[in-house]
Amino acid sequence: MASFDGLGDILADALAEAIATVTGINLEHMPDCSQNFFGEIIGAMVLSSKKSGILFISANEKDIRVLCSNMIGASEDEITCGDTEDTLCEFVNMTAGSAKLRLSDPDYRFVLSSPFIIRGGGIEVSTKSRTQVISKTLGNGEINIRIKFIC
Amino acid sequence: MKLLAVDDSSVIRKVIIATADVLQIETIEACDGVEALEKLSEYYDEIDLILLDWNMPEMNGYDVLVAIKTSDIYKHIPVMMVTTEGQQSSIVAAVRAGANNYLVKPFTVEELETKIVECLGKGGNF
Repeated sequence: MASFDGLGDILADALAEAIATVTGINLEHMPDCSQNFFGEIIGAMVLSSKKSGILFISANEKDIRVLCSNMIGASEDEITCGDTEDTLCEFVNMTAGSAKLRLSDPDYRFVLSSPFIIRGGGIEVSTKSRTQVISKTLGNGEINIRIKFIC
Repeated sequence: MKLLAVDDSSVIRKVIIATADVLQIETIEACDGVEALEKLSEYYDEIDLILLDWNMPEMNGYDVLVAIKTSDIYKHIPVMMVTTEGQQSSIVAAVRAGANNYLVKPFTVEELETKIVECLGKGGNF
């Protein structure tokens, strides 16, 4: 049975595995020093179950552009805004789908919504005091990608 | 040879097109289930394989699969589900509805290539 803290590792591992599989880029767990920071582009999805929550995956545009370029084998100049948004949505989909497979706890038998995109710099999300928040960062010194789950 | 790639993600369709190009297979694209059936009615006698996402707007991949496999005109075309729906229950449901093969996202280009070749070489079955 996965604890809420364990859920964070499962989500982060699922994202790292998805990125490594489709882009060949390996990202490691990084210290999470700025809990409220989001990148310029956020992919999100509602995960509904007994314990429902919202999954956010965010990064700066240039980092998603690199991942997309590796994924489709095109140069970074050829990548459009639509491509970066689609790439991030796919990472959200793959992360939630893989995490769902790894979770045996009935409280986390999620039904997944369609992923959606939020754009904008300096976005912060505030939560009520008893709201549970998972925040994890993956990176490799060049690319940073943030995963957040609010439940 | 031609395949029909049905996915609401243009990035996934680009990955499929690039992989099919290597195999010298032409790709027809559809971004949802409704467009998939429209393309199928237009090109059904040219399409050798359908790659079908599950979660899409308008009409989902499972409903498209059922429509294909209950049609006397389309049911002979092999269908491979390409989806994040990796639970055993989803795979069983798809196979019962007539899916010939199943690929869970995330996948590598090599895995996709192998599955396409497998589908085309063995009449589409697992």
